[in-house]
Amino acid sequence: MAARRHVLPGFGLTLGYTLVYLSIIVLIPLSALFLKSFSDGWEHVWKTITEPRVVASYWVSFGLSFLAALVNGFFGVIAAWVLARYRFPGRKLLDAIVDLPFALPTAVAGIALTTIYARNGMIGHVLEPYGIKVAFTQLGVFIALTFIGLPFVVRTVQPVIQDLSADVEEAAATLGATRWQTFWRVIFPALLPSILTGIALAYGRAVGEFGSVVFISGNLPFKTEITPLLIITKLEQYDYAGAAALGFVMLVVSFIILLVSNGLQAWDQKRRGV
Amino acid sequence: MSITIKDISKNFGKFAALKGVNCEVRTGELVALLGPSGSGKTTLLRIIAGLEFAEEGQVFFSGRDVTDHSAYQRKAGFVFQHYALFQHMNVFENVAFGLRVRSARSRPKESDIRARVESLLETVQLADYAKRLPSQLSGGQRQRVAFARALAIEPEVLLLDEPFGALDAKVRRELRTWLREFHNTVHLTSLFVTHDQEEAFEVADRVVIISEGLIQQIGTPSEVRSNPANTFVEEFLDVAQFTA
Repeated sequence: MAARRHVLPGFGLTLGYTLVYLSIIVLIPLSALFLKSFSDGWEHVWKTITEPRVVASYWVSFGLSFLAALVNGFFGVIAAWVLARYRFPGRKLLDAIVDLPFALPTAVAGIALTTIYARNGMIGHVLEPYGIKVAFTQLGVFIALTFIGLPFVVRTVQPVIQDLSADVEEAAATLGATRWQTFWRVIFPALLPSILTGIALAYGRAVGEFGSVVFISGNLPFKTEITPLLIITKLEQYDYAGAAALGFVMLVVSFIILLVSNGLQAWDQKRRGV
Repeated sequence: MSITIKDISKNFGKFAALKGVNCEVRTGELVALLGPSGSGKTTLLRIIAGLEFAEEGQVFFSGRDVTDHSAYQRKAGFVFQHYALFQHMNVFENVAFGLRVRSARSRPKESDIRARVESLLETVQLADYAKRLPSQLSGGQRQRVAFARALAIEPEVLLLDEPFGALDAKVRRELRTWLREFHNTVHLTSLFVTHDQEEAFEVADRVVIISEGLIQQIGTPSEVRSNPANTFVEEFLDVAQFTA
C-alpha cells in the first residue's frame, strides 16, 4: 500500500510526540495507579472499595456532581444565551465573571462559600429561620460543585449560539413557527451537542473537585464526605494501596462517563443522519 | 393575492433606508425589486414578510391590513439568499417543517404531509435527496430545498431575497429559468429582490427600480428599457449593459 501523501508532512513526527507526551503525562501515572491498587492483593481492593463509608462517599461525589452538572446545564445555557445574544451595559464584565471559577484557587472558593453560607453568614443567616442549612450539608457540597462547574457549560455553548445565523430563526417564523417552536425545533437541536459536552465537562470537573468541597462539606462520614477526601485520609494512614484502589474506582467511573457522553453525541448525530 | 405597499418609511438609526415607498404587486404577478446595494430593496422585502417593521406606512395583503402582523401570522413564503436551511434536519424534514409546526387542529395527517413533501421534492427535482442533510447538497440544490420548504405552507405570496445571489453563473441561469417556468404554471404572486439587471429583465413581468430608499421607476422590462424615467435609471441600466 502506498503511503498517502499530505501537503504538510510530519504525521510520524507529530504522532510520535503525541504518544510520548500522553504516556508521560497520562498513561504511565494511571498505569502506576492501577498496579499500586493491586499491590496488597484483590481482597484488600474489594474490601476497600465496598466499605460502607466509601460507598456512601460515591453517592456524594458522583450523585451530587451529576445534579450540579445538570443544574449548570440549565442555567449555563441561559447565561450563554444572554451573553451571546444581547448587548447591554456590563456585559463584558459579566462575561469575565463567568471565568472566575476557572481561575480562583478552589480552596479560596470553598472558604468564601462556607463563610457566606454558614449559619451566621450573609446568606446562611437569611436561610437559617426557614430551617435551610447549607454549610456542612449535602446542599453545601452541591453548591460548591455547581460553582466550579459553571464556566464549562457557558463556554462550550456560547460560541455555538454566536454562530447560529439569524436567518434560520427568521425562516422558521415565516413558515409559521411560534417562538417556542422555533426555540425547541430549530435552536435547541443545534445547541444540544455543545450542551452535552458542557455538562460532561462540568461533571468531570465536579467529580474530581476537592479544594472547594472540603471546606463547605464539614466532611461528615456517610453524609458529606467525598471520595477524594477518603483518598487523602487513606494516604494519611499509610494505606497507599487502599488510596490507589479508590483512585482507580474514580478513574473507571470517569472513563465510563466520558464514554457515555461521547456515545450520546454519536447517537445524536446518527439520529440526525450525519 | 396582491401586495400593496403604502407610504412605507424605515430608518436604521440616522440612516433612512426607505423614504415613503408606494408600490403594488398584482395577483399572480412576478415582480423584480431591482436596485444597487444599500438601496433599501431587501429592507422593503423584509417589511412585507414581517421580519422588519416600518416606522410609517402600511402593508396590505389583498386589501387586508397586515401592518401589525408578525412574520408567523403573515406566512409569506420567504426564500433567503443563503438558504437558511435547518442544518440538523434532512431535506424531507426541512420541507415538512412548516406543516409540522401547525396547531394540532390544522396540521395535516402524517400521510398527507408525506405526500405533499414528496410531490414538492418532485417539483424541485430533488426526490432522491429526501434523506440527505443540507450540508451534503450543492448550493443550487440547497436553494431548491429552500423553495420547496417555502412552498410547503401553500403561501399566497412568495418573497425571494437575492435567491440566486450565492450561486455560480451556470446554476444561477438554470434556476432562474426554472423559477420563470414554475411561475408560468402556478402563478403565485411573487416578489424577488436582485441587483442583477439581466436577471430582473429576463424573469420578471414588471420591474420596480429602487435607489436610496425611493422608487425610481415601475414598469415592464421593455417600458423601463425604452423609457427610463430619470437619469438614475438611465445610468443604472447603462452600467448594466456595460458590465453584462
